[in-house]
Amino acid sequence: MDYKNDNPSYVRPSVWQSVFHPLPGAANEVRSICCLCNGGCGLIVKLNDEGRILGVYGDPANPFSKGTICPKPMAAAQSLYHPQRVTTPMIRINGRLTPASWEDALDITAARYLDYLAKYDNAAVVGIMSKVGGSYSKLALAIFESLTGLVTYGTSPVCTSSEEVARTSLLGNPSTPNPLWDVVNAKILLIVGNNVAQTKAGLFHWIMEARRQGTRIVVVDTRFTETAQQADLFLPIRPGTDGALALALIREVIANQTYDHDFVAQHTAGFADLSAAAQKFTPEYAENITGIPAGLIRNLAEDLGRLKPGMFFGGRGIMCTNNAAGAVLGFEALMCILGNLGKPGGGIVSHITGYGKPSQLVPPDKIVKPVKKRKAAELYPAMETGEIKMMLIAGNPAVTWPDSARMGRALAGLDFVVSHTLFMDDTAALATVVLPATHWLEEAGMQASVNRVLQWRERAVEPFGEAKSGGDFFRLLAKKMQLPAGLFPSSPEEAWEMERRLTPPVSGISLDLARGTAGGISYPYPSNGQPAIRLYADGQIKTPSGKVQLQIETEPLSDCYPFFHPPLKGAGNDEEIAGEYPLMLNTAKVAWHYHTQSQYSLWIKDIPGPYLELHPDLAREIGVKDGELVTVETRTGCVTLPARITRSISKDSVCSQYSFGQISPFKQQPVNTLFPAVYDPVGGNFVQKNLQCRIRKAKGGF
Amino acid sequence: MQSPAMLVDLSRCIGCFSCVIACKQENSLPPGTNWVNIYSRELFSPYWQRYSFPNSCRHCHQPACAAICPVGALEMTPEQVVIYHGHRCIGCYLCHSVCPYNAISENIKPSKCTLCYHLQQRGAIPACAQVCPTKARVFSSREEILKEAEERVFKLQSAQKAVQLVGNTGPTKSSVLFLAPNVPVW
Repeated sequence: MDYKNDNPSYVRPSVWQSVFHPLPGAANEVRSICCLCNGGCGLIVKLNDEGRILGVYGDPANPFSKGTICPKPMAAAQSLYHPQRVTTPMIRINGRLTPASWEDALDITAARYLDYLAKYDNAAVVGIMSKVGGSYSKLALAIFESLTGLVTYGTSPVCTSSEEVARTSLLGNPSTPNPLWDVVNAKILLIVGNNVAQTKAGLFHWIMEARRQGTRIVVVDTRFTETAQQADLFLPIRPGTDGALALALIREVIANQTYDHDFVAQHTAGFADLSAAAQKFTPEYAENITGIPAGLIRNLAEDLGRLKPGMFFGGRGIMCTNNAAGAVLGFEALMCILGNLGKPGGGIVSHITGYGKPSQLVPPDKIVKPVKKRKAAELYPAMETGEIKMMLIAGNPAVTWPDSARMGRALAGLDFVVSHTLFMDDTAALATVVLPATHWLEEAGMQASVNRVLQWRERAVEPFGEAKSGGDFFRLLAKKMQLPAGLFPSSPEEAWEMERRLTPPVSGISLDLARGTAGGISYPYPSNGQPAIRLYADGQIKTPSGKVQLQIETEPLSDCYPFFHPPLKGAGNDEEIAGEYPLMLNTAKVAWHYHTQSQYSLWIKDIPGPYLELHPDLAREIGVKDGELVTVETRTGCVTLPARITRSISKDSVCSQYSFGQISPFKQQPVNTLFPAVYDPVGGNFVQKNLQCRIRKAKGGF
Repeated sequence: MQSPAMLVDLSRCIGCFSCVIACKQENSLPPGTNWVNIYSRELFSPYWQRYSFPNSCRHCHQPACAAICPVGALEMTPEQVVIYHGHRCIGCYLCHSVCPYNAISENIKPSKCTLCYHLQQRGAIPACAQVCPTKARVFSSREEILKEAEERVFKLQSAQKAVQLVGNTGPTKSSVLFLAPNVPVW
């Protein structure tokens, strides 16, 4: 069809243009891997003649995503050319950020770094490096840490810490035991606090396919989510009470004698004590706590005992709470005693995809040990009292860390802040030196996915402006600081060869092998072995005792079995103020936003921004209609958000989305500012769900 | 060219906005112009149900918009796709006022889905159907789509779900068919 104007000129006023311009056939297509949610979906990036991205589509050759994608990578690709993208280094001079050269920016950073090391010790400098980049940048960071004794905080304290602690003490390895696609082999899939349809939308077709093939899908959540819509059974639960449900299920499975006696005898330690710990959680007792009818708990326990292998897929809904470790341990111990572990379609899926850390990156004589390792929550007072002088940041802690307003104030009070960033965001605005970082489409690297594969991601486009990757930044900084820069790899390819040489579990995965295989290579794959699809298939548990440890061995609750701690008695909450703050505040993710990365597209007006989900009865009580502004208050702060009235949420809680910043295109006060900087005492994860709050209609205008 | 069709299966839609964004990307639509809109629906009839309803042009086989357009900006192709010539449009909004499905975007000028006619001519399928993560949108020849729809209806009905296929016959016959619950969702 031709689109040229074949009408007489009087038909169309010359100022009126067509509102749409279909993309031309792409000059060039590059294969890539999405780096957003650990799903590892295959992408095809279409480029024009000048090497600029026209659009992003799914890669039909990828066996896991099968050519389908969620909206996030499309939006993330647009953000490359967003006006808020940082394209050149900037140094703050007389309070104003002034463009500078990389040379000057690195000189001043290195000089100040050495100055602080000389005056104080290496505890005066810390890093928050949640968005450092791909495998190349992570390796360079690890080398830099070894050479300087820098302590850095990644996504762990905000996202995975409790889960890691619980699974490491249970199985010896925090990484997901099963790939996500294994759900099609399961007979029953228990999804707890996880809205997979939105958080891993590109891979959700596996769960739908499993259901069509007969897997029973059970969803436990505080909201009737899109995942629950597709499930066989949805169990609405009171916020923060998942631990009680897990213990009740354990008790029922033991009482019914449907657990795997052989597996328990041979491969677990502490079963008798687990049984004793679960003893008081009868279904009726759990009903009072969770609000799930005792009969349904009994039915679910029967189903779990009858339908084997079964799988557990927990999400942030139970991992980021003030009683997370006990609940995670409960559900995962349940899967272990049912004997599901290590079987096709049996066990645990999680989005932790660790493949082992490289050993001996740096010769032993060059290693500098950190003087002090602080817990993540201890960063706040250390920054406020001036104990920390300098911070290296790749990420946006002024939005993503709890008590964000306090984090912002603490950052502003530091002597020297370096922000290696894609966008001029809330954190970069407070920095002394702002450095342009590469987008993941501009950096090659090895990418681990929730399907337990390592996939090689090629560089799709040239870095925009003067952007440099984290790998280049740390090598150049080390050189300026007179550290042995020769230890750093100089390219992503070299970095992977170095990493696999030093990491035995993945030493068999060469670059050529990963490049030549659509969908990547399963790991662990030692050079003298075969790629393993799932862990523990051989019954080898990685704990010191070689058995599944059914109790937590970490201080301060060592020798603690799966437990339930009432959320109101946990960190951040107080039973005495329950009358004043009657609701529970939750945060969740949606399919169209991923942290701060996909907000910078042209389409933000056409997709929903942040909102507060609340029940119609609550809305009537405070007198707001759909879309009107509601103020949410906790003891830490208050935030105003538009209301979205829905019956999919219970009357005792409200829910919003995190990761929107004041300087993001949405100009929203971050919801994380409502959460105090307190953590799960066992797992160490910041509390980001189930916080007491109250709501009222927002007063005044905008 | 064979007459193509698209099936939109509301029982599979997870409301992830992939189709909305893929459409905007493929057609370079300006901010505010959406050819696919997702509405969240919560109903109490006959029991509580929740749907995401992705609304877009149905490509009716008797298109009111093409019949009323005074300048021929909307045109029915031989393959029964109602395409839109942006450069011909004078912005009178008559199409918008006659469309029974509210499927015509009203930003700057009226405009609507072309079922990615340019992609079809290159042998590809529309962008929204390419990216849909749950195959709630499938695109193929009309016969294939009707066969697929029948299978899905059978499976849903065996699972005690009340469903109907909209757009198969009668005055609402269209190239975009909907597999919808047996209650009015739009």
